[in-house]
Amino acid sequence: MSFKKKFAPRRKYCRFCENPEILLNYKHPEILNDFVTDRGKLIASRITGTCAKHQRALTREVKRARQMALMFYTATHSTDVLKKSRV
Amino acid sequence: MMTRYEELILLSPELGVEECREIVNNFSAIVEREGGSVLKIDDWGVKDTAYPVRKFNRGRYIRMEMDLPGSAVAELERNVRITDGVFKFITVRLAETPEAATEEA
Repeated sequence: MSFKKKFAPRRKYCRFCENPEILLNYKHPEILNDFVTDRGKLIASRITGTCAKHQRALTREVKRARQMALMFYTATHSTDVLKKSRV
Repeated sequence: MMTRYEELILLSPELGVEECREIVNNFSAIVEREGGSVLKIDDWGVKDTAYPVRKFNRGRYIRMEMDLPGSAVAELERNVRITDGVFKFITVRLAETPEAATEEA
């Protein structure tokens, strides 16, 4: 009995189509942070299940947020990480 | 032909409240001179930035919402760029026409 065969992944859906209330906006990096890795890289829509339209918007907003220092480009430059490493 | 724009500015944390107000008033004057109108000024206060900007780990965010003719954006950005104390800025078009602009946070 292999473990792999028993595992049925939950159906992925686009979180922004599901709930139009969510503001996909560079001014709300809390939401965008769910769609980047710990190192700040964008996660493929293949993994998150985001639809193509919203993935495009997401990419654009993440890049804007990075530009305005609301999100970091790479973890090594993150203020949070630097704080921890100083201690 | 007016378009709805938003301008987010990151100011030096060393500036006092008075100096920030002066900078914002200056930008508002430029917007009005170019035939636009400022609708909203949001001061987010001094916040931590995600990465160091000019050796500072914090900065004051100010967001302005305005109606402006498209041709005046370059002039506004030119002035923002030469203002001391402005670390970063971004201009985003919110809607083609002021009527089409939806109210959102």
